[in-house]
Amino acid sequence: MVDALKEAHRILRPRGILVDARPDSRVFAYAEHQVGKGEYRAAGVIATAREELVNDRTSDRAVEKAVGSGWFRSRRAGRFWHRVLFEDRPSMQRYLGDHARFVHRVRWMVDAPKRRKWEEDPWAIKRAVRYELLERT
Amino acid sequence: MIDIGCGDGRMALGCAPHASEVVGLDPDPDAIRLARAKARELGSANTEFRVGVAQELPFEDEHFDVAILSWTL
Repeated sequence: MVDALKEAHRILRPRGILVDARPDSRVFAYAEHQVGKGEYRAAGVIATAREELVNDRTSDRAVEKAVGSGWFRSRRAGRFWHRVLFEDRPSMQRYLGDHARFVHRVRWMVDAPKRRKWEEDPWAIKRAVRYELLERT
Repeated sequence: MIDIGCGDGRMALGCAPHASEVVGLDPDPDAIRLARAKARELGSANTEFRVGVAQELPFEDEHFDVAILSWTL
């Protein structure tokens, strides 16, 4: 990862911008039930798989090293959220089953009868993305 | 600009209308084939997709104004 950042530094012009965007595992993702047109309500939380947490920390350290080495300076950093949409709850569960980033089980905030009632309704996973704009020195 | 780890080119093609030249680079030849097909479909004339790895970028020093690492690090 540090090698990739060093290469990015090499091919960028001075004051060029490197955009680093990746999933933000410092916060939970949410399993959301659709309650209206474009409206969702959180029904559970989804943690990041342990291996991915380790990978994310390695990425963080690589960026810290790139900044610490003076290759880049941080100009702005933040987080935004986006939704992955599913036509029903089984589709969402299949996605979680196939996806290495998340643990496969939702930690539910609503009881089983409600979940059964909403089984065929649209669902979403709301996940956080962290970004940082790094200026090449 | 360059999208390092561009996958199927979604991000690079989204940026293309706002840049003079966009290069997408990814180690997966299938992803690059898909990105090239999408670029043809969209008639994107200022995009180029190449197979390659982030650790060894096949470009001269100080070539780009913007580099994107999206879901790459």
